[in-house]
Amino acid sequence: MNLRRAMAGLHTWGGLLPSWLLFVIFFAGSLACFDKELERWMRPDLPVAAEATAASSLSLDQVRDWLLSKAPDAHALYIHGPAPRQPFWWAGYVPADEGEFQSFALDPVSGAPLQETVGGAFFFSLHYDLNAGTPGLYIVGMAAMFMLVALVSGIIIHRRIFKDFFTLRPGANGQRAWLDAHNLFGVTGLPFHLMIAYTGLAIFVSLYMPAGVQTAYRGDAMAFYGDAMSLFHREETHRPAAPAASLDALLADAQTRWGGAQPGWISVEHPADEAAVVEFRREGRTRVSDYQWTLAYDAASGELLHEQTPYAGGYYVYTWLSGLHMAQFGGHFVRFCYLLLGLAGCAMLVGGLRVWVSKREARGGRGLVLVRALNGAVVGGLPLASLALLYGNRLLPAQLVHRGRAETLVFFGAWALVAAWVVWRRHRLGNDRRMLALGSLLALGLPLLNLLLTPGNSLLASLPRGDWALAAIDLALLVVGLACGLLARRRPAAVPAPRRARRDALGEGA
Amino acid sequence: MLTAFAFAYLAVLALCLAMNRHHKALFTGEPSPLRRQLLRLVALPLMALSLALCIRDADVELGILFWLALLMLATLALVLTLAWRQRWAMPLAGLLLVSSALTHLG
Amino acid sequence: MSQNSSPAWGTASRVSAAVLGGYGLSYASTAFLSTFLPMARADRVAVASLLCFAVYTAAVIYVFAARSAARAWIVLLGMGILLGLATWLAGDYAVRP
Repeated sequence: MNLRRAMAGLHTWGGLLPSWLLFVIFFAGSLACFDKELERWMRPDLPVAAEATAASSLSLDQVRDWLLSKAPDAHALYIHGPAPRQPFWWAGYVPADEGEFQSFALDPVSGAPLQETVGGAFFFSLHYDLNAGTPGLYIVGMAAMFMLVALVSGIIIHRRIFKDFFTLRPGANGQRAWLDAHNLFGVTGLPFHLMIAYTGLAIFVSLYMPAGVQTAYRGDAMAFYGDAMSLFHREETHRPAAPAASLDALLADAQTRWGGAQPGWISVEHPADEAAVVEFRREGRTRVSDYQWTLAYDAASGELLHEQTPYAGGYYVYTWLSGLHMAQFGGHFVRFCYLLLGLAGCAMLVGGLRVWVSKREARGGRGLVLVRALNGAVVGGLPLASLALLYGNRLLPAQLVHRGRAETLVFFGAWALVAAWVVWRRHRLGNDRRMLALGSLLALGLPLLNLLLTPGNSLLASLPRGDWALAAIDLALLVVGLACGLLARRRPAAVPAPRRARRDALGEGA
Repeated sequence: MLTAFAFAYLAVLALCLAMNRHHKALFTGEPSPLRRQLLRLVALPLMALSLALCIRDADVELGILFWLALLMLATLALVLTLAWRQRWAMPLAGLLLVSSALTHLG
Repeated sequence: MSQNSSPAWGTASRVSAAVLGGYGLSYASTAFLSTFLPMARADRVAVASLLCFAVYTAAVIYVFAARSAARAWIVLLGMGILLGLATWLAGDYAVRP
């Protein structure tokens, strides 16, 4: 049938082109499910007893004054207090010239800035904009569109979708086994894949599709947001501010109005101006879409200026879809499901790439060397670079200027090294085995390094005090290390065993 | 949640056994048409039970989402078991049920 | 045009129809729905915008399923122009609350 052939071509090529990019997005997104836990692991200078003392030790007013001492004429201040998954303060400001946001993590006990690190947010950013700002957002959006098309065309061409539903034959010849794996991870995860691609696009819909606002609001986006989410805004008067009211007192008032809920981000807009506004956002984590219930106060008199109404209609649908993507509901259970399903997505991508390769290994084809090299460089390089980032986090000197940038450099440097090595060895076999072995060593070494350099954060300390969020990262590294080691050992036995397809496919065909 | 997962696993296991290829692999011989129909019929209440448990634990909105995630993961678990440790596929169901019963007792 | 030109040309034409024509159609459909959906203004915009990716996907699938690249272009452009025209003719009806 013609339709099926046309769709097969679309699926093959439209799927191949973005698949390395999609692998990066899926892998980083899976890790970003536990971004806050990674962030904590990457901040070994956090005091251990932080959780116990966090709530009482530092006041909002102290943090605001600290920010104002750094930037008295700031355009806006943002503050986030300690939370169970994030036992430290975030304090940041937008400079007067509305330049780049400056943020600092503050020790919850002493109030001093913690040492700089890109933290778990690195993977989050890699996931949605490849750490490349707005151009990255567009590239990721295009990849997601390709993925939607590949999913739909994949459904059309998969004639045995129900017959082969439960089928995976690792013992079959290469192409068959990889096709099984690609189908299995694609079909069983299909609801998740469709959802995650569509909702991912939906989050930045205002960027990707401005037509609605341009037509019905004549391009006035602020008016749209004002209507949709009942935002409050007060223009500057350019007269100096009266003495500010206590943020802590205002927060107490906000919490009473919320019925005791915890605050999320707290902002002070143009703090040095007479028209300064303080806004408290509620941190809702119980439903897919929790509206922020933003309360806006006059910064000087403390008068309540505006109370946000619940999201309704179209905007509720939008926040529900983006909430579904961001997995901030349902706690660790949902985060863990998303991690597994995201890794299943990685496995689907790797399976698809290997089908492409093994089909052409059998009958020859152009681009084979290139695709194999890219497979090795991306599928092998990204996990190795991620491990390297964690090494950079522990080994770079604590007082290094631009330490975060240095960590990023370690990540991309390691990735470039792996890529260069793969390209250099593109005609030789056994690359994936070597990369698995290296991954195993790196992953097993990290808990050890943690023990040597920061014993207070190591398993020997975190397990006895029941600090599971911290211990889980070390334990996961140990599991990944052992799994990679096992796979590397079994690798020469020629049977392509996609047990942990993500790792297994490090590099090109054996 | 473990109980809901156990029932989701049982449901997909029943659906899987209703297919010739997998029935042959886990039992001897092909299933009779009646047996296949029965297996499919059993799968439905199992799925419903799993959904009901999710909704009881997490309310309707989150319950349905949890259930979908559990179904996907149960299918993945079953297929990966079938591929590498075929003989464990049936005992795994028992193990899941027993351990979920234990967590309820404990 | 697909008869006497090379298959490479046909593929290139389809790819550009899918990428550019598809985006054009989803843009026009978003503008159209933002104008004509029977809802409040903010809801029209939100719902129409969220639907645009489904329209884009359907357009791409159609482009590759169509009998010829020329046909795909004609259908996409035709629908896009129709929707765009209707939106344009509606004028200030689009900004009703």
